[in-house]
Amino acid sequence: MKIVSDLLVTALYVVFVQNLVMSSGLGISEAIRIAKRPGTFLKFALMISGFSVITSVICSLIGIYVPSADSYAVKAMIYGGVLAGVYMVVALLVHLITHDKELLGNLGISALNTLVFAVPYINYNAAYSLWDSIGLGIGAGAAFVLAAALIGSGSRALERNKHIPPAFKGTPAMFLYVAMISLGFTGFTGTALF
Amino acid sequence: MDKKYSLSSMMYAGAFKYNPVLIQCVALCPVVAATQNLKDAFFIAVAVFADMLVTSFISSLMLKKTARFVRVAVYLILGLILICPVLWVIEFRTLVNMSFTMRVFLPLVAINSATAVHCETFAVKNDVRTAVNDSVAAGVGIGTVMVICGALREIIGSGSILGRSFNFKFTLPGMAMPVGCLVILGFAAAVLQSVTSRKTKVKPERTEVSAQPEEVELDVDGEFEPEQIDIDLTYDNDDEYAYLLSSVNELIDSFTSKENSEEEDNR
Amino acid sequence: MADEKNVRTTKSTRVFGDYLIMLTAPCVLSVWYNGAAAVRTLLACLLTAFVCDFAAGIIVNKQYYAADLSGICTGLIVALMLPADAPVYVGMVASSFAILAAKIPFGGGMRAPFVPAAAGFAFAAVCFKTEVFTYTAGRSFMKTVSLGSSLMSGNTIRMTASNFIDIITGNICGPMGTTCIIAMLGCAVFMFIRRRQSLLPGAGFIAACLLISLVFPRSNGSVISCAIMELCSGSLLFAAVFMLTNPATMPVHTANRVVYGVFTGIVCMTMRHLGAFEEPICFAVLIANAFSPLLDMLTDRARIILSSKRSKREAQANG
Repeated sequence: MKIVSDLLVTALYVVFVQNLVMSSGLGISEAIRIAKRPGTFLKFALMISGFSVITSVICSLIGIYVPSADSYAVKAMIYGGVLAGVYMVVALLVHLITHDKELLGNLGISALNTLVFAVPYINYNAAYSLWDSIGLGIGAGAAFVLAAALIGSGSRALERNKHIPPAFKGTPAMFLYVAMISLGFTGFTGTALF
Repeated sequence: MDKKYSLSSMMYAGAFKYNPVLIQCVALCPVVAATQNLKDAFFIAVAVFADMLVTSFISSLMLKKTARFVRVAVYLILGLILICPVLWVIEFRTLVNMSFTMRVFLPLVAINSATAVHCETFAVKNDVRTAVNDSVAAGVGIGTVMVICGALREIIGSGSILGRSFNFKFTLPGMAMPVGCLVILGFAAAVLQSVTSRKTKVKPERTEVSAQPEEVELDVDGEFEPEQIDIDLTYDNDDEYAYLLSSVNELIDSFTSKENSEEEDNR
Repeated sequence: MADEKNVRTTKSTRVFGDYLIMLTAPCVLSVWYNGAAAVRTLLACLLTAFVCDFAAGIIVNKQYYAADLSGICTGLIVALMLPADAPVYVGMVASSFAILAAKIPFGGGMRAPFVPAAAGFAFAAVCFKTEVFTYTAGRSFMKTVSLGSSLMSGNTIRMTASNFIDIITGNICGPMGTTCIIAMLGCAVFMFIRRRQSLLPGAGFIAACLLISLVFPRSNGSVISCAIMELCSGSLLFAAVFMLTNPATMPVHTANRVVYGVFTGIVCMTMRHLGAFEEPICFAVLIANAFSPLLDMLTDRARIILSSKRSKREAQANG
């Protein structure tokens, strides 16, 4: 029971309290891009959570059983290598089984972004247990989709707004919109993640 | 698509008019999270520039025949191979005092979306020279935004530049947070947009401030129509490179669409 | 065209004119309780908001309409949420951020997707946490400790008649213009007469805050005292009347307005329990503002799906 509650608390914390995308800017480019396609939100949530969980579990196990140096360069090589390896295995399986090009493209965006890459770092810095790290991985996917949904609905509202000054139309208004959401999430923590 | 573009026109379009950060919305994570001061911003800018240059060069030279889903993983590995040794040397062989943010975010540069986007849209479809020119233009564009953001955030956020204090009466620490950077990016994009629209002689129309009907809800009430929201871009039709940059968002979307290019199928 | 502009300006003026009328009461009370310090803060915020509005209007090539009162309202709302003796620059930064980053880029006060005053205050709270939440202007009751900071440290006050009267008359330590409950209720009555639909989010918000404070009290004392303190502390009621009623940011559908208010209440109370700030209502309002278009989008989608199902069923029944 404690394991489940730890996992849930960490996931909810990452989604609502310290939303990784909004309060740290992790994976924000991808969130802005995915925001245009609400139909894919669930797919991306599952894929990002899946990659985050697998990567963070493998990295946690490596951290336990392999006496690695304190060097962040070595950590980056291990985390990046694991992420690339996990992605390649999944992508090859998809390529061999379904040959679905759309799914392969989505896998690339879901796996190879700063949000998934940063998850093992957060695990390490927060000294998360294995179950916490699984919760963090699940929360990362949900946080991404929450951010994408908020940005997406906001973009639609901005598109309809004909009173925006010409200089601010498009990306400037979008940046400021994201800034306001980010400011809102700052109320939970008061500080940046890193 | 193997065409020779002049470096100067590519620099204007790639670094300025269609700036990767301000217009194409790529590489936002390193800009937002890691440019809290000028020193960090400079380090990150150099890393992004080097990563883009090397990855574009190698992908244009060797990865044209590789499947797309393999290429994107190779970009990450190439970035790590380039950045991690440098980070290790800085950590253990120099006296440079690197911040915690830098230690985390420098490796994240290896996975930044700008590299993947520019390699996929230009490098693997063009000759090496064009690919390198494009990566230089994009790298300069991203680097410039990073340095500007870093300098402004350090001055406004902590009242100093490169550690030298200005003794301001007050500072705005909020500018060192992601919200501060996004606000700077919003205003920078607005300035860039108004400058480029003036250059292309698109006169902004005169509108009115905040005057609109009281019952706002009447405007937006109605049935929801699913629509594609694309970032509004204007471009000179006579400049093919600028056209490619202007349509970069559609190109990125095509990575995940069912209608992939024929060449991909041939591979 | 000119007529259309006039009609628009008139309607904008009516909405923000109502707010200005309502703001008179807290402004007068803040001056009554805090004297010259309140006048200084009010003037600083008001002038900054006006100058920023005017200058930005010229820069973005727009015409400035003196009759558009949204900038002035924003300045006053920001000022009333600050401590009376806050440094002048705090109010100026908050007002200028509200106008320059949250109002002008989105096309004005009636089009801004986020309440500009909430954005301005939130930014000031992030930048000047100590100055924004330190109340040194002594009043007769609880001289330097606000209700919010008492709750944060797990303390409750005994709810005697005199304490209760002090609380509802605003004779307590806190933001200079938001603590008088009677004034807030008066403003709510005015709003009920003018635009009763706009009060729906506020009602949902207060109900959610009340329920959460009863179920999860922040102190070990009496639950009722704790709930009264929660509702009367900081700018909670002020936000219910002046921020959640903003027609530009609330959802379109009536039911969604209540959901929007309840959601704001949940976020606000969660932030009060877990967050980094003593009064997080402005942050909660910003998050709720971001959810507002999402709520409408989801409702529209659900309606389309339901109507298509209904038409299919009718077609099957007919055919």
